[in-house]
Amino acid sequence: MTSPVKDVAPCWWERLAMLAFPRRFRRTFGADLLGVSRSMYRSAYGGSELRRAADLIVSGLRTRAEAFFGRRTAARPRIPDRSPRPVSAIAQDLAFAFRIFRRNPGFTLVAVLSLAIGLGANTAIFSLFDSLLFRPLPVHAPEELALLHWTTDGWDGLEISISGWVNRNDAGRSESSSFAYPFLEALEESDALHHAFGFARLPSLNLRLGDESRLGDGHLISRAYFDALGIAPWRGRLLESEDFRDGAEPAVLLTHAYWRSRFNSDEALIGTELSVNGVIAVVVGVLPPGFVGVGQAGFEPDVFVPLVLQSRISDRGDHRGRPDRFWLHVLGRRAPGVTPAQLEAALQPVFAQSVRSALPELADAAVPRLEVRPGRYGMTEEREDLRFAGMLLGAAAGMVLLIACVNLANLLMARGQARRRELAVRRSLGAGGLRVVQQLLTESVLLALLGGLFGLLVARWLQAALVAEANASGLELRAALDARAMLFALGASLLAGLLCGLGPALHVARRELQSTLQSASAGGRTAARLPFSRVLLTVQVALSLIVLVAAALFVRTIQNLYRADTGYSADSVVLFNVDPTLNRYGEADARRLLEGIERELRRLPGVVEVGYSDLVPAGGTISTEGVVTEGSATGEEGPQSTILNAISPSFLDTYQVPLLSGRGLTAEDRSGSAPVVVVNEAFARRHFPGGDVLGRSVVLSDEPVEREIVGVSGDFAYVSPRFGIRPAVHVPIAQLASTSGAVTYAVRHRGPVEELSSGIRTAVRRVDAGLPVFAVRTQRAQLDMALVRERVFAAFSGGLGFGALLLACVGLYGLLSYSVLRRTHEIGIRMALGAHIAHILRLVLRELQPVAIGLVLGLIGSWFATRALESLLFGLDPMDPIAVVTAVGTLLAVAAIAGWVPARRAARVEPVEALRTE
Amino acid sequence: MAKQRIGSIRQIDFLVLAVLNEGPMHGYGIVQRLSEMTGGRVDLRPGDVYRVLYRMHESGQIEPVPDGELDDDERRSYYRITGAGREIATEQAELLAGVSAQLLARESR
Repeated sequence: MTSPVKDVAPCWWERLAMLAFPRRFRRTFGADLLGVSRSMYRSAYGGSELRRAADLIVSGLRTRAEAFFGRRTAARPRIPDRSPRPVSAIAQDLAFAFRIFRRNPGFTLVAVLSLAIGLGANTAIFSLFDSLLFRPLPVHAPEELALLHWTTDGWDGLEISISGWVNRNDAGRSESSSFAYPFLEALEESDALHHAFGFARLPSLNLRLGDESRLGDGHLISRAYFDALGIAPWRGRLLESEDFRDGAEPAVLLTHAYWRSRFNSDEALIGTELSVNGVIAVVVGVLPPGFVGVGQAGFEPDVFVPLVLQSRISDRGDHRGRPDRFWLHVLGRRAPGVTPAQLEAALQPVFAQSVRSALPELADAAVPRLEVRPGRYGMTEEREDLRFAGMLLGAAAGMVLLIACVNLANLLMARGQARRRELAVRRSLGAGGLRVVQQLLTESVLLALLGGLFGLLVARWLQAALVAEANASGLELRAALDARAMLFALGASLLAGLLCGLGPALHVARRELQSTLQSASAGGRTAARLPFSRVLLTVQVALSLIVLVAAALFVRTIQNLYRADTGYSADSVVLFNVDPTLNRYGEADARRLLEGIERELRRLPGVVEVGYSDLVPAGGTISTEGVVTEGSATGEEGPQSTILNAISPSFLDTYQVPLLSGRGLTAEDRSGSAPVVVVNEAFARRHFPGGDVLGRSVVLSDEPVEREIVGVSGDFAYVSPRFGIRPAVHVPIAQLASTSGAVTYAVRHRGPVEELSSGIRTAVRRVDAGLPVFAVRTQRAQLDMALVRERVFAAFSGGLGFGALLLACVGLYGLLSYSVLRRTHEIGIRMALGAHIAHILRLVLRELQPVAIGLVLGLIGSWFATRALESLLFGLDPMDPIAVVTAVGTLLAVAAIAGWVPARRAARVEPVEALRTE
Repeated sequence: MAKQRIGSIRQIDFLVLAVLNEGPMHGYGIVQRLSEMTGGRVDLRPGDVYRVLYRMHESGQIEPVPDGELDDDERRSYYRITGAGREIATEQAELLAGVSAQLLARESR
């Protein structure tokens, strides 16, 4: 039969939901149903996609069930009846399982939803972190890629400048993945490493097409880059040898995502000119979708530029001839059969020679050691943070899934008890023990698969929420439930089904051997007690408590961080950035530009104060500098790492940071006048506890001059409240030879933010129409951004905690109601014999005993689990009493509620009725 | 969740047969016509309509109209009643009519 329907392309979840229908149905009615379902829901049901999905899935399952059970209507007179299919045992079990589910909709719903919560949380976290951390680069043979690193135990005589990632651990060992350009050249000439290539990040480029400037990120790449990775162009061509020659016409490549999002996939763009920080470059091609270089996932470039343009674009001098500047990441291919150790041995002499050419006097022992690391995931250093976060969230989600599994196991146990008579009949009719286990397992696996299906919906929502939260912080995440995530969900569902089905199935099947039909009716005391279920309940309560304590700790942490005294006033301050180097301003011109912008800003209505600086509080970065302090009381020789900020005269006033002694910076502190600094109180306390600060001098490591300390300001938190107060030195921005590029303006204002932000753009345009204003945000939003990891953690663990609570509630309620049901008979007898209601209540509530044991075990578990969280907490202990009490209290409250309803039911039992129940 | 059945077929099947007895109809049309016929008392969701259609197709009471036989809206699929379906519908209608008449007569007494 030809497909009756046309032009309906199902979206991902529709395709998924349609799987609920039998294949025969899909072939004949599938597309038609989708079309009608869309138009009907659009017109009649308020367009709710959720309800539409539920409708599709439910009716699909019902259709399938009807087909399975052969419950066709009686009338098929003209159709030759197909002879009954030979049904395998599995099909029989499946059919039976569906019938069981239909007969027990409440049980099925609770089981499926429990698992959906657990599986959904796990799938969401898996797919997010999978795409961030574990996805091999989309290049040719990624497993052959080798990423170079170096490590050193000390910095004696190692006078190099590094831009890029450096990690110093507590033991004094440092490592970095930045190298000097001459080292790459040496590698290109030697044959130690195949296809050696390098790249460096170029953050915040001014990418201008015509009149429109936008900020983008780029990678500078070396000649062998694309050859080594085996990338083919999507449109146009790649960068070729010619483009890397000195004096060649500048060329630039776009990533597919950038081409699509900014230029709407315009084919005509190829061959046109794009200005990159004022350098006119020809767009020669577009890279294939999905390829975003070998840098950090989550920090992706928009353009690729040949290395030869480095000095013209970054405006900080030509790094290429400098063996002492380490700024390039270097990768290559490891030939098959060569071990990393062999490669390291071959590369070390090349590296040592390169270091020596910069530092001929360096002692042998001080030469850093080269290390070869797998490069298949690209650079991962800055992702270590995420890896830890992913592991923690994954562990919490795993616990929630475990709770859900325990829940289901418990439900299945209870059901197994209720079905003893049925199972006994089966056994007596000749079903083997294995056969019974198989049937029970089929049911639990089927439940788990249904749970997994709904779990995908849960995962989708969770992911959308997480991505929105992360994107607000500038971390680019993509949420995609792709084949890997589906596979994960399927695997987790199967595992969960087996895990929670096997115990009860074996338990029930074994029991069947002992008990017989005649005893199966009354549900004697042993059966009612369900010892195995009580163990499961204990485990569940313990796990829930651990998740809840963790959630409470994160919520308290975020509260503490927001309440912490930062030392400055963040309210009514709007920030934005400009970068004079983008429009290639010289030093003096840049200074005039910045002052001009400040003047224009002050003219805007509602503006109270304006300052600008290199760093702002909670800005995410700090720059530290070695500062030598004359007469310092610390007794330490040589430079000490100190926060250094270049500020305009009114910066401190804008943040309402008080001046404690001496004078503040003024417009008179400019280049040519006496070099001065204002230090913070922490600096003064550290170096001059006697208070004798003013008039002393400091020397910054890059400057040959002494600067006089003319004032002391109040302390304020530069990074985030978590890092607290550190010694800081404030230098007049006008006295620094060059600022590092972007400058942040802080504008204190009255009135609505919206008006101000458009005013800001007009003000800057009046000074330089071609200068992009970027990252307009409030200081509050800046703080939010600095705390994003904590916020995501608090939100996510709170959600998981809620899920755990919900599951615990369902589990407790289910077990208690079941126990009351089983003991109605007994309760009736007791009441007929004159037992008090209080006595009956006590009888039922005694069933809550596992809760108490679970709480104790959970507390012990929390004590261990929260140790791992210590580094993420702020202002509280891992076993913070408030958090622990809150968690225990919540769990107890839920247990009380879950116990209350069944207990009441028991207390209301009419003795006569109860005795009649059989 | 007891199924409402009349004789050997479900009430909803009977209603769909009644609608299709008027002529070929597409899925959405069936929903609307059913609602009309019953004064808005029968309101089917899309998933359910097709579940019923599938069931009735499997048992030979209805069938899709092959493409091109109707020069109506090309974008939708039409379904029509089969001979077997018509027989069942008529039989059920007669049965119901008889019973209804007796029932109403008793009510009005």
